[in-house]
Amino acid sequence: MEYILTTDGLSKAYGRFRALDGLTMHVPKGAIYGFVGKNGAGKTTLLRLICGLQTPTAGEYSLYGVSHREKAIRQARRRMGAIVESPAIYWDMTAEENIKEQYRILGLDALDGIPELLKLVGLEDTQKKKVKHFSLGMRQRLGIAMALCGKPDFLVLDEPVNGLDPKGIVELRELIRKLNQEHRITILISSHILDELARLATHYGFIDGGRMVQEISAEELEEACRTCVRIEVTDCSALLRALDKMQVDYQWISDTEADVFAHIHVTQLVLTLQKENCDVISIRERDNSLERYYFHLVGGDRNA
Amino acid sequence: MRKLLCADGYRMYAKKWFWLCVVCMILLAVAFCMMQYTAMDYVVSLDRVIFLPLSVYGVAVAALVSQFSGEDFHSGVIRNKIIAGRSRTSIYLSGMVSNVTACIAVYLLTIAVSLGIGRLLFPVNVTTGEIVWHLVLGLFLCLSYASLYHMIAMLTGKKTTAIVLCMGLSFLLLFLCLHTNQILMQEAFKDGLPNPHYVQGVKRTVYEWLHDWNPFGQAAQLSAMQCRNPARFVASDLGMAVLTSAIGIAGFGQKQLS
Repeated sequence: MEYILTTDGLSKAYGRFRALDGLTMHVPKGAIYGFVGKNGAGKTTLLRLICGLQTPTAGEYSLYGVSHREKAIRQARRRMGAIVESPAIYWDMTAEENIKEQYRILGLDALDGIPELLKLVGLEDTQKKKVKHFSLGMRQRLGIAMALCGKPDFLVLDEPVNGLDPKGIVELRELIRKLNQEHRITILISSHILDELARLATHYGFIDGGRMVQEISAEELEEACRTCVRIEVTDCSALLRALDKMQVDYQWISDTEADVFAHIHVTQLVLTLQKENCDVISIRERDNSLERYYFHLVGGDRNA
Repeated sequence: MRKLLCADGYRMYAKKWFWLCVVCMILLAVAFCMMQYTAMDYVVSLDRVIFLPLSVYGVAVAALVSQFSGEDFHSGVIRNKIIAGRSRTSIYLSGMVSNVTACIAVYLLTIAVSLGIGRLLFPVNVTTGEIVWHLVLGLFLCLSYASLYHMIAMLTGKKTTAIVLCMGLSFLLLFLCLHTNQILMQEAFKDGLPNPHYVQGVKRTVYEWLHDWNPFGQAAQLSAMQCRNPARFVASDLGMAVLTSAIGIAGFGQKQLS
């Protein structure tokens, strides 16, 4: 599989605080990679490193196979566009002026394609309106337009839906999907809003305490988050023996609970447990969402 | 870097701050001419008027340069330049060249107005060659101011802090200039007796160096068209530009941007 971005044992320390601690990740080409972590997990720190805003303390990363230690990394970075933390735009310029300025920064000779770019992000009607009069959603979309100026094939978005209203979130989601599917742009989105990522991402990386806890594809995650039945009993060991006999897939939760990932014959199970003097207290169906999966990974299951 | 210069150049001349600085300096030039014409009880000649606005020029360009260079950090566009694959050295130098050209533009426009009005109101006691010579010296002064304030703004990384530091430094240098000028203006004898405030020897050399190295000291000399040591004047400005650029490029190259 071809990877656009790989990191290997990447670390970043600010004094004694380790924001990244040996992070290893792989962003496949063509993916929408959802980078998930709570506040302070290290998401934005990673993005700052790969964008060249800061230097790693240890480890390395590669963009398009080019190591960050090589001089060619600057050329490699020209193939990416990014919004880190907030859109980088001049507030006393219009949308068009900002994009023209970005064209100049990129060294693009012709200023072609600006109306099409503005139309792509839904800002074609802004005309002489300065950015300081834009809504947050409009500024986010302009930031994406700026990131797309150089026709990148890798887009990095840091919490792009923060502060957006529901309509803005939907519009941005559709734009991201369009960029990935129609324009074949690989997208790395960092977010702590799991519900939004669940609708978009093809791959996930879960980060906690500066370390990658797990990388998983959307298919594998769906498999892991499948619907289950949670059974609460008085004697879990009896339950587990019964489930082993029935040859069903299950997961032990606690001394009194287990999750069963199969369709079971309830009466048969209850009768089997009765023979072992085990009472069934409750049986309820559970849909293991991305949210539950995440909490299970990083802890905080009690809040799930 | 040519493209970066184009981007920075457009931003400088499209923004209100540059034109505000030009207008303020022109108004000051007019005001100084009027003051010299009406308030003095002796006849002021042209050489005392042409470069008089330079006495406050350093404060005006402190605001301009710090605002321009700090804006890139404030808006976050400095990130765009780095992500676009531009080297930190080219980003720094492009900003510096834009600031130097802007400072020169403000300077030339101000002196042009000052000279234009001055020739109408005051007796001409200088040749064109002398005016041109001092005008050229002033260009080096622009280089010195721009490189110093640009370095501060790029190392600070915050627009507001940059403005405060640059304005604060400009006033500090202005007061230093007033102090050294006052010392150096003392005559050896006063009322026939040795002047106790007159400095000589090594101490005088040190004060002269301080006055000539200080951009505001140079501005004070230029404003009276009495440059004591033009070679030291130019060497100080070139040295300031080289030193601040070296420090600025090294510092900005290592800066961890958030």
